[in-house]
Amino acid sequence: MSRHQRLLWAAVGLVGAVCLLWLAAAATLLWAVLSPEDWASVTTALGGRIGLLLFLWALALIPIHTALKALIDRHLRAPAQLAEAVRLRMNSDVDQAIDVGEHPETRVLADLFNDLLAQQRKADDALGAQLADAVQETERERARLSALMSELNRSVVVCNLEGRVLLYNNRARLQFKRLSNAGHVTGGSELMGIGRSIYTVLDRQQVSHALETLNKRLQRGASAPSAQFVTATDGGKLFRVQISPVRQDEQAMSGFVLIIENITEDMQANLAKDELINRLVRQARERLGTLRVATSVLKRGGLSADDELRVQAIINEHIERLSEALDHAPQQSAQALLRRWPLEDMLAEDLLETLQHQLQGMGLSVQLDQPEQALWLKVESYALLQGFSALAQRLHRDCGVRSLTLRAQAHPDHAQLALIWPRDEAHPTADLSWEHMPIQDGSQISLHTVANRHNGTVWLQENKHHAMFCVRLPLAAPQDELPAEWRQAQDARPEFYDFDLFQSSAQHHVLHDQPLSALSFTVFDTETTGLRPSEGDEIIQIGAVRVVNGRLLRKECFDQLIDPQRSIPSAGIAIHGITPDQLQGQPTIDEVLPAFHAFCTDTVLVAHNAAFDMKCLQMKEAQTGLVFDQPVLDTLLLSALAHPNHPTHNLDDVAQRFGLTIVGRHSALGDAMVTAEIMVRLIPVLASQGIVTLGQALAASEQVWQARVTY
Amino acid sequence: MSTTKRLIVVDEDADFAWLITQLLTPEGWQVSAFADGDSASTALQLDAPTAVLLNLHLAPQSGFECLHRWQSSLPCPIVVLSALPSDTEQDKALALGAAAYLPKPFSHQQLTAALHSACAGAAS
Repeated sequence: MSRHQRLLWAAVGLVGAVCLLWLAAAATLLWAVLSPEDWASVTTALGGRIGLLLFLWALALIPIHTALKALIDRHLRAPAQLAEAVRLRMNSDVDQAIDVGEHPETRVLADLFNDLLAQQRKADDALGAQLADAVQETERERARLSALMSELNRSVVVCNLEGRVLLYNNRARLQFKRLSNAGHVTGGSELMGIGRSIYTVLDRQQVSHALETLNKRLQRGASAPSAQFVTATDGGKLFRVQISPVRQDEQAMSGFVLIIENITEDMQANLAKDELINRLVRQARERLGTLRVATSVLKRGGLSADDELRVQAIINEHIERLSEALDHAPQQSAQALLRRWPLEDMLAEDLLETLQHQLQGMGLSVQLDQPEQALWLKVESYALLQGFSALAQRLHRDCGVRSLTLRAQAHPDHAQLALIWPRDEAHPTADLSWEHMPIQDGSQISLHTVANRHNGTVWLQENKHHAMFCVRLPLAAPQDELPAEWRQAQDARPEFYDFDLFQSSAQHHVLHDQPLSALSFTVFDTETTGLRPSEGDEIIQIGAVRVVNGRLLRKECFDQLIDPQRSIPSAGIAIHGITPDQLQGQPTIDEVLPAFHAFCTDTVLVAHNAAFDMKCLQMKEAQTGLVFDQPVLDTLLLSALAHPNHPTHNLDDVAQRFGLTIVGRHSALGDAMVTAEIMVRLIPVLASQGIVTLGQALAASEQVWQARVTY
Repeated sequence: MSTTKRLIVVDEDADFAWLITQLLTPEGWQVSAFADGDSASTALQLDAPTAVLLNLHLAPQSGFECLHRWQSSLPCPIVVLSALPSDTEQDKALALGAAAYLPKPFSHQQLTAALHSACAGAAS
């Protein structure tokens, strides 16, 4: 029975009681004022009709009930319904207009509330639209920043004040991959990654000194403070590092930006150049010194004929040696001298396509004959393109050539570019002297000059059907092309930054006191030949992904097959699908485990049923000398803590519970990925149960009974 | 009293050493030439020269190493020659005890003046 109904019956009961009381009071009054004989007459007249009276009394309550109900409905129930309707629409997405019946008073209020709610919804929609626009614009800016950063040909790294990496671009990633001892396994991600310490590569003291300098400049109010230093890595590489502040306000930093340039080659080239110059100068002065003394001897006179001849011979010989030294200098210093004219590494394919585009603009038909494999050239592309264009123009104008083929060929120690055209007896032929014609009107530079500056040469080759101008060019060292998967997809959220880490501070120095949400994790999984690592089963695959600041860094993964140097049981193949053929040629655990160990630096390890995976790693301690002594969290135990009433906590069930799809089940990386997704989702659930810090999570895990399973 | 002045020339260039001999012999110098420091050292022990003409750019031992080795033990002045002259090299040579620093190429007068100045300095 509702409150209003109770109220109604209470009111009816009250009225009934009042009526009864009134009747009782009337009877009492009559008894008081009437004489006993009159009273007896009244009681005699009414005595047999008490039932009728009571019936009439009860009957009278019906209209009273009706009236009271109407009153309650109008003045209590309708407002209460209105209040409920308003409350519902305020706290939910219900969009219907409030309709609480036909009472005029409540209808007015309902209409007013409908208007108010409509206005609120309109305001909310407008705000929501503005917010969505702002978020979209922010995402677009982030994408632009990410695209800009990824295409810069300088390594750019942004760090917070603790030296933790917040942002890096593709070039930085490539550069650190080259520095890595296991770049082919880790891709350099053990050195460069979100949340990683920059001090893994750069000297902490040097960076600290540079930051001190920056701070002083900021304090003095410098508008664009920056500092530079040159540092050497353990591998003997030289880096020039420019460091600039990320400002929190006018005088304080919240982080710093590093632009890192590998100057090892430049330094070596400069040293080689200096050495060459010094050698040339010394040799020249030695010869001149001898020549001068010889002229002094001749001037003095008094020599015998033989001595005079000898002096003359000495003079001639030293002059000749001096000339030779100066003649040989350009050849000896070809590589060093080339650096004065900035040559860039360029793919032959790109060069030919650009030239094709230029020549087609002149009305020529141009085919390309590209090399089969990527051919890297060291060229000054603009001058080279001008040279070829000038040749093509002349062929078109003077020899009636309408179509050309451009060819790039690789040779062991050089590359060859050729401009080929079909010979036509009806038209004049080209001439080798054309290599000396200016590449542009008014220019002193010819294709011959351009070729020389590339330490190359030009020649004309002809047969019965075709003629070609060929240019010999130096090869560049094959560049690491950015892997396709590193390039940002248009709609993919870039993962090379996490500006939330600016807020990260050194407040929680003790690892166990750190909240789980602030930790960096390496979530990993192993595939093995069997389930008995202590009885000879070996690791055949390690997959891992990093989680930093609650985000999976899908681009910072570790995924490596391992040759176990033993047979693979067919029962295992049926589960993990890794065949012996796939493992042939793969590195052994001695090579992979150090790379994985480096990958896990400064993180907490996470695995599902971690006892097994950790046992596998521990079995390799003696062989590799590597100890994985990081704290370890087990998502199986954490799941049991978070959902104690669920009967199972295997990976499939836990994933399903969180609505996760496992891609690549029973591949190490696939399982690591889903374990990482589970970990990210478990953290807030655990926090709601009071398990916030790493220490709390470890302590709670210990108490879970599944920890008793040992291998 | 003998007025023969003995000069030891240490230079890799045999032609240069011969020319120096032709130039200075008429001036009363008795010149002995050696191509490197080790072969010169032996002669220096046996025959106390009046002066030494030492090329700083020798091999395998550099002229600086020879200078450093001989300066304390030889009573005679050492005039050093350099085909890659610089202020820092000159300062270093003089700090190591060279009596004079003569860049190549040099004139007859410059050579004579350097030797004269070095010997005069040693005498005083």
